[in-house]
Amino acid sequence: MNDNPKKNRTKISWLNKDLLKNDKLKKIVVATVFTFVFIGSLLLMSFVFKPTNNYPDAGIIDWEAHAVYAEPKNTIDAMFIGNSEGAYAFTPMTIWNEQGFATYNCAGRGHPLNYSEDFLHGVFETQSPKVVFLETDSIFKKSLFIWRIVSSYMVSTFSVLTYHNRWKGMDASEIGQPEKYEFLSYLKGFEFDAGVRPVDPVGHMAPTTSVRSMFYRNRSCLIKMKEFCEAHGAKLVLVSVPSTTNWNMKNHNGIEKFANEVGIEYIDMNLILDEVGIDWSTDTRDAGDHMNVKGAEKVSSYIGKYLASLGIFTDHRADSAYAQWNESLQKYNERKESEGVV
Amino acid sequence: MGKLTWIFHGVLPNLSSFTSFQSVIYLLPIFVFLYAITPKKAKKYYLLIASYVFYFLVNGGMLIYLLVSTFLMHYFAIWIERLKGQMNETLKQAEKEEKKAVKKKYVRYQRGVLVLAVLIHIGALVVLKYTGFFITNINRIIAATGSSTVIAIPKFLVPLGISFFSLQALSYILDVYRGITKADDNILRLALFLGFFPQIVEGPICRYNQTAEQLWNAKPVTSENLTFGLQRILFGMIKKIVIADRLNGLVGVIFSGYAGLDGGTIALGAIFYTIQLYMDFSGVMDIVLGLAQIIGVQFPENFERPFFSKSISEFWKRWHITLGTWFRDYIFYPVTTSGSMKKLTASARKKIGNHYGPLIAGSIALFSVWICNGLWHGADWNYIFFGMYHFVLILLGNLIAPIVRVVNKKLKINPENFFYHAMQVVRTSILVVVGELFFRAEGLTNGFRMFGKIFTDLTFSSLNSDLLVKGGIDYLDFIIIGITLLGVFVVSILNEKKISVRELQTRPAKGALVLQWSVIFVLAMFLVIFGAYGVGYAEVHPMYAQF
Repeated sequence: MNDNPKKNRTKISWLNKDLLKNDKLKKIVVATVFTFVFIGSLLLMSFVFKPTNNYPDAGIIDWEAHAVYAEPKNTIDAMFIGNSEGAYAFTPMTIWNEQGFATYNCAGRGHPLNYSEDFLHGVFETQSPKVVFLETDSIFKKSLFIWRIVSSYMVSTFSVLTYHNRWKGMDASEIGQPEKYEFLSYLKGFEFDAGVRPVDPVGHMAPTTSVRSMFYRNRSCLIKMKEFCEAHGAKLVLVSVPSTTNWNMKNHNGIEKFANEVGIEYIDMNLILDEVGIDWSTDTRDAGDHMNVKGAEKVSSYIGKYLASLGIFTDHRADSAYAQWNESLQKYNERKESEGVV
Repeated sequence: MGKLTWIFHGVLPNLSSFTSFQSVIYLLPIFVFLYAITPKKAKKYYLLIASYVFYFLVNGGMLIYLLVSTFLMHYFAIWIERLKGQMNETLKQAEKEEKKAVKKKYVRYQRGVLVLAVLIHIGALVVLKYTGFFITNINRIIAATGSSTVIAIPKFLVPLGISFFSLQALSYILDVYRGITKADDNILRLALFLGFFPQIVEGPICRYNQTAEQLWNAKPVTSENLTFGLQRILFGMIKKIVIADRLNGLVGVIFSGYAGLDGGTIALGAIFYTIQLYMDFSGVMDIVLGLAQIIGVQFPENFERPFFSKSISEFWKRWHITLGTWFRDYIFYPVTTSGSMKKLTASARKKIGNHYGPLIAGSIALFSVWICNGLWHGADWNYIFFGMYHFVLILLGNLIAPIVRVVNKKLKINPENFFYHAMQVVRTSILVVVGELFFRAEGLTNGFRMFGKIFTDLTFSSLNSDLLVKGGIDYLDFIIIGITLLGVFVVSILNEKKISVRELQTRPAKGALVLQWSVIFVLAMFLVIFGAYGVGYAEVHPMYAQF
């Protein structure tokens, strides 16, 4: 055998060369097959684990907000979207009680802006609200960084990542059933919390000329939402609910600037607290972060008056098609009584 | 977030939990893919850039600490190396009677540079981590005298991983001083050794000779390394996300609300915490070592089945191994081999024999190690107590060892007997759990109260469904924990018997590859379905990252 390694290489037979190539190819093929099997398994598991109805026990996330799909078609006059600020601040039962308008709260804890946009599109498939209120807290969240978009795409495609915990209480008979939204929520999406943790609002909304900048993708998402609403005969209104923790003048200035630029109405309740009637010693569940039931009723009462001032809505309280709303109001009042909300 | 805050806190502070489910799914494939396509000669620069980008994204301007530490250590080491060179040159030319004085002079210079380097690093660590603790206690003393003076506690931002990369930096300069390693004239190689992102958060604490060259000559990804590295990562994630994170809520509820709980529940809480801590820390180590394996780098193990230990001494040789060996090599040995300790040992041997004689110097060194160990974990009295607790246990073990041998001989007890071993393992585990109770307690006083309740109120009446609901856990979760722990136990037994799980998968002549990828598939699906992540779960950052 020649001592020169380079010359030795040329003595490798064609048969050995093929074997070497096959070994590498085999590894690539096995890895690729398993990747596809894994993705396929995730999709299968997503099919198996995804809830097929919106009853609370089924485990659908945001079941309160998702219960909007159980509402009879084209019965919702106005809707709310946004994150937990909105979820805790808008109580449709107050608006129903005072004005007779049917509104729905589709805001939810941790909802990023693109998720609110998806909800908006979803609701308009079965409803035709005339006003869409977007709570502004989620507008400045970094929810539309590319990796979060990828993340939310992955989570929506592979819903097993969201519903994997359903292994605990899943009924095998559910698998493969068509999705049904039958559960009607009497709270209409509102997060009911009667707890009180007061806050001293010193320094809240202190004047400043600083303007908070908006991430460009959030901005374009908002513009798309406005255009979508207009295309469906609705009006998008930006609302900042009272919050000492999350809202300040810099944020206000940022939203106001944007709203003026693109022509969207903006209501900042943090600047009209007296008019809304907010009392920070009784109206917050967590020291100024979110409203409690009392605070939410004041916020919602203001919104109800705003809707009435538009002159485009009908009082449905005597309409038999809305009978379940009166029943919901009764349950709502019973809950308030049981939790000592005056 | 204002611009200034962004600079200090980083853009994506949550990324420090790179062991989180989301981080591993999205970031790991990107990292490995980019590494694989990077040309071989550029891989080291890719690793360095990736490490600094990671650090900056997570910790913002705190990166400056890492950069300054790297810069200082690089030049201090070169300085010491140059002094060694000058010493050797001078010695060659010196007269015989002058050599001793010359050597003494240059050793003094080298020691001066070393002390400067050590003081700067230890000083930074002490100021950033311990200022609050010292001032709080000074304020308590002042208050006890009746004075109303209160010293303000400055708030410092502590750089991510400072406890880990500081020890690595110190080990480098100490090894250069001792001549174990040569000073590296390549600052980038040192930078990669100190800043490699998977290990900067929780270790392992590596030595320069162990990993610097490996990282600098990082190899292409091979299918074998990818397969087994991925298996290890998934195994680690299962330990952390299926077991540790699942127990987090219940442990938190028990430790924060112990006043309303009985002693039995508190004892269970301590056991759950110990399991959580071990699964979390060892799980993260599996992820780090698995990631290193993918790029062909072998990091030292940090855990060797610690709960198979028969004594506390053995436990600390199997738990957080790299920290233990660091303290052994840089505190314990220097203390015991110092001139004064050698004299003390020699004199003690004559008076109290060969077993107890060396024990005095050994105990002094051990005390130094355990004070440092306690303080390294945190600036609070319960961590110091934790260190002293283990010091006392190890000391007692050493003191009574001869007595135990005599008793066993008299009672004809075979210490190699399986049941004797089992008793030792159970005893050691109980002692460890007690230590962890104090470690986790919200302050030393609460630790003692909790410990006291175990004896004064040993019932389980408060272990009810309300407590489980508050802890976000139910009986099905315990079943999953049990099944997963069983799996971990089986793997541990195999490893203890030196049976390599990796080798088992390569044995079949046909289908070995399919077997390996099937293991990956099963681990991944188990993690996806049974992981404690997503809706209803709060993300739990790696527990040791707080140190």
